[in-house]
Amino acid sequence: MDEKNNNLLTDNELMFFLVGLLVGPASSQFPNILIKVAMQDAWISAIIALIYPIAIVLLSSIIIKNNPCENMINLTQKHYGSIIGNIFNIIFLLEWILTASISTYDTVTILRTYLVSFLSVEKTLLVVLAITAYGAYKGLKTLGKFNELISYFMLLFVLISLISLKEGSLTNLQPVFDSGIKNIVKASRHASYYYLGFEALPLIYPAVKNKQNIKRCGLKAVMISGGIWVTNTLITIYHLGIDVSLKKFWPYTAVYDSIHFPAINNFKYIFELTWHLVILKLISNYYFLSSYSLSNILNVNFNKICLYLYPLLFFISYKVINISFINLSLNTIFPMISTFNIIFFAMTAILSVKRSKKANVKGAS
Amino acid sequence: MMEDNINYIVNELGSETTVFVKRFSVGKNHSVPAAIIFINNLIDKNIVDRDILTPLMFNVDDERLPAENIEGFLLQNYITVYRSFIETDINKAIETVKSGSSLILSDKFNGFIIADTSGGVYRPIQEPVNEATIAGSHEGFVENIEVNMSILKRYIKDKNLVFKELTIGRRTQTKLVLVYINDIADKELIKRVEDKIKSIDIDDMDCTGMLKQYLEDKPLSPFPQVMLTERPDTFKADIFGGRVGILLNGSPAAFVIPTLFFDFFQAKEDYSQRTWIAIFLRILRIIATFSVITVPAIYLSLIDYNVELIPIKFLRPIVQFREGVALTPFLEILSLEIVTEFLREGGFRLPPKIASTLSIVGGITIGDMAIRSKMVSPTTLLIIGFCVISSFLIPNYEMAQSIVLLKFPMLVAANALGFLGITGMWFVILIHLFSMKNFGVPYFTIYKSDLKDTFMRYPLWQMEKRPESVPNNNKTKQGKFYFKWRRKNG
Amino acid sequence: MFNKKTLYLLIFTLLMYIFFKTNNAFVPIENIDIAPGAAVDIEERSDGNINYVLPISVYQFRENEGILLKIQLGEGKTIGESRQDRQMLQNKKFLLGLEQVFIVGERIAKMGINPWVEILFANPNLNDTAYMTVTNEDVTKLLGMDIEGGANPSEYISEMLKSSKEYNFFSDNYKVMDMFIRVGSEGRNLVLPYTKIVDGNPKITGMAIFKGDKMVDKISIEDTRAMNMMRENDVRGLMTIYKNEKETIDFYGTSKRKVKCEKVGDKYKFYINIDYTGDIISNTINREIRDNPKAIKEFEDEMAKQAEKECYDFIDKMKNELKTDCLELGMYAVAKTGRHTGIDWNEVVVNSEIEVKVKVKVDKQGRGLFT
Repeated sequence: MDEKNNNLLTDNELMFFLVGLLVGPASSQFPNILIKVAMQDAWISAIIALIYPIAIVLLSSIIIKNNPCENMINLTQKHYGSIIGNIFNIIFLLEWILTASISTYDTVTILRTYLVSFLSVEKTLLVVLAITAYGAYKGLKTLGKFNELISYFMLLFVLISLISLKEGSLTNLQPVFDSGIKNIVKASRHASYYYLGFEALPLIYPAVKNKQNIKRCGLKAVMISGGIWVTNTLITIYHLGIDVSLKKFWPYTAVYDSIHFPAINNFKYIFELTWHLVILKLISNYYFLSSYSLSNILNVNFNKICLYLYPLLFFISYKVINISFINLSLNTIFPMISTFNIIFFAMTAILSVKRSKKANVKGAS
Repeated sequence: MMEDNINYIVNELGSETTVFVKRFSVGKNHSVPAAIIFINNLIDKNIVDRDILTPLMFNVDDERLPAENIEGFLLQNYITVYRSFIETDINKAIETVKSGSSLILSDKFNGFIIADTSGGVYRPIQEPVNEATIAGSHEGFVENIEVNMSILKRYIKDKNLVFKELTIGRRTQTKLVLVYINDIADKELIKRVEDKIKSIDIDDMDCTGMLKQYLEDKPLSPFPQVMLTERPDTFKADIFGGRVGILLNGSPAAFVIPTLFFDFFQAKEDYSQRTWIAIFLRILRIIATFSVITVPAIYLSLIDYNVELIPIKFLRPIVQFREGVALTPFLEILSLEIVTEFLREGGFRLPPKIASTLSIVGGITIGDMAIRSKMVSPTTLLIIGFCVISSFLIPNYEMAQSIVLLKFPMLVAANALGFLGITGMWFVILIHLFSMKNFGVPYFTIYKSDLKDTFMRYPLWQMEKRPESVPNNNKTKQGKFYFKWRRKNG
Repeated sequence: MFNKKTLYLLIFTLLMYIFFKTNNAFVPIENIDIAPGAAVDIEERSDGNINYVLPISVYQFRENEGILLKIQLGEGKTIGESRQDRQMLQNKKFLLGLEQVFIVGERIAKMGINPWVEILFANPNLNDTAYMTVTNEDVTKLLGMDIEGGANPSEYISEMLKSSKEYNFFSDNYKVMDMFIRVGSEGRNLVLPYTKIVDGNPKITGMAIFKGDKMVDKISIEDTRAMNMMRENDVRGLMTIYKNEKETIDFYGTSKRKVKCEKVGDKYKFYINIDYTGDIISNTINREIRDNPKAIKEFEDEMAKQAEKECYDFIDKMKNELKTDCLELGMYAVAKTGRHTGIDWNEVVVNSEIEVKVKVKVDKQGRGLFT
């Protein structure tokens, strides 16, 4: 019995944890962001946007290869010194906290529209954050296992959405490349928020069992989540057409309207019910990442940080986040963060390669 | 000298009423005065009379007695009890008397002759009532640990079968045996279990039901972490999976460590039935478990908050019946749930002859009258009845109780938060399950290789490996022999 | 420790429960007015403005008398106001979400249904699979009419619309969610069954043609069949070859259509290919069809010709009278040219050439020929 090994993430758990960082509440509104710019070619943008996560995974794997046992936070502190390093770390942390609170805000809105219209914002927020905090508090391994299980349900639901193919029309997707390559590429930049999350890889890899498989798991995770995003967009356009899709706040849920089961009036609600496990899981993942990074930066006990983060996230999601802030972050902050990430990761990768070469030369002599 | 010893021993054994001391003389010429001590109710009188007293008193030839080592001579030539030996440490000798041996002492001896005379009346081996099977052994464990060990030894001829004896309980000094297969079970696990058992400092250890609560890692969790069984074959199968079994004297229920979540959903029959039937039953169990926890909550959310989700054909009768019901939906469901729990618990405690009255009064009268007096609506009754029946599908009674208990918080959550409550509760339940550990072994983990025997039950010949979820040192359970056969015949 | 912890936990849970239950404005199922049907129409007011009229039919549950129906009428300047007005005569909370049918009055249809669609579209509880129909009757009367046999009119109309797909080439696309897609998408147009009261029974008498959100015209049931055949894919219907009252052939089959769009210069050309496969269910003309492949071929050609003629008749009518793309050919033109170009597809389709080709195939002929 290897108890230490029991606490490390397996390949599958790592993969689905990464998928769990991408696919969440945004999935139901994601198609619209792209359709606005790329029209019926949005799904091509969704594919093109995959370049970013792939780049992040590749850069991360270089970093990981050269530093097999330190996480990103400590690594940054080591490479750039504690002051500049911590500034980078805080920008890095910002991504987790922002995503966690924006997802929470989105979740509360969707929940209050479809399922719990009788609850006030505060109450819903209180519950959502309490549940997700519990998940984060229990640690990475628990989250990994949970992600794995729920992801199977998620994939099942994505498959179920294919049933609606019988309702739509291929003409909704035509003509292909109508909006022009420029718009398609432009739209893919708008997707940056939805493709953020793989940056967690160098943060959590010390807790992975098979370190040599990280790259493959990362790429697999990109494939799965990219597959979900593309199916999501494709199905939405195929089923609704771009005009109606733009009219809806959450067009993807409408896809489930066309699926009929005799025992329940509206299949959409079964989807909502299960999809909320996926959503809560995503918030929980980001909650974990936020508290994990914070506890690493401040050198404070993780469990304590987890508790302190609760009021903070509550405050941010309740007071700071609103529609205009979300628009600001989608159009400005997140594209900036993703650019920062690419530069930051590339720099760290180069530095770590140099360092490890130096160390090797030293070790050899 | 001898009298001193006798006084000391009697004193140590504690009670003069049950300790029996008989003074006699060895040999035809009464040359060696001796005494035999035993505890009256623990021994078989026939053995003492026939195999110890008779030969010693009437058969010993005084002249042939050696000057030295008389006790060895007597033991070798006259005492016909097969399990007998010489003990020099008086305290150890006293311990053996406590478990039914007889002690013979004399001034001329250098030690004590101990003869196993244990006897007394025990319950015979019977089929365990609570775990009856159709195909399979009808033997069950009994209270006597020696008998239980003999049953296991008869089942497992492997030389690696280990019985490790411990005692537990300061005053009762109950015998406890760890059972495991030496080259399968994980050494660290055995050590952990042993350490934990040794650390239990308690006066009295009644039964395994108590013992398991001292051993559980998370005693406040709603889920049971140790499964009791009275079936030697279940016990044996678990030991072969790399688990450590625990037998406790005086308790017919044994258990194995670690017991994981899915073990509670596997019945013995699963393995003696055909594959498709076993798979079907397992799927039914999953549905039932899910239903018990969730269906009342979903029903409550539907009629409380999300009315638009009920298809209109269901909705009409539901509202029609609810017209005039005084209680709110939540109170209605809750009260009915509690009444059914009354019935269940009442039926469980009553002798079978009276229990049938309960089922008539409870089931028919209360059910019917509750509807007629407009306390509850028939739909609610249907839902609750469905849940009660579903809870019977869970093969383990303890797990069934835990699952039934879980539906109450789920109901409260649904009443406060609607569907968010249900999703949230499931989130919490799953996270709790995933975070739980049992003796360092994850309680609820889905391994890809174990899927053969968790939600599904593959054909037996495909289960080549032991479950990965329990740590073990020997992965292979059976060879890939079936394929040879298939090629030849095909 | 255990005691304290549990006690705190219990108190905490209780407080949370109370906190979440306070101000919780939920209404259990028995206090909700469940409406199986709703209707919408407008009325001229004396000051020249219009009033929305929104009657709903509501179940009245009685313990021993079964389920009764009640019509509740709301009026107001906006649709929201009509709800406000209606609540004043209701004894329970009104909930939309279980309606089976929406009846649209012809007047509001002609004015434009968008204001009404808006309130439906925003409602997350709405039953998107409810059927829709247009009528020129008084909607309140239709909703509350007595149907022979005591059926609930809302449910009856909903089932009638659902079953319309037998024999008349109707599709299943008259639901609310189809309406959203058809009204909201470029190059598409809505058609809805047109219901009238005939001999005390609601009956589909034709089709209401929409352009955008406004009803343009209604067409007869004969035109409807031809239109449906060209407009819908995979629908079932019956066609007849009629020589005189003694010599007829009835053919009942499934029609599948394929549309191809071609752009020549500025002009569009549409090809509609219809595969019409089915059974001869009655034949008093040609006994040879039974076992002569040639005769079958002849019949198939004749049938195809007749179907084509009916189709072309309708296309003529569409181009000259309706001036609307009721065949949704615009959808294919859009897929060819690109979206959001500002072209009026109705005009394009009406002015372009449409070629219809019907291929008939006899599958079975029943169990025998009698005459």
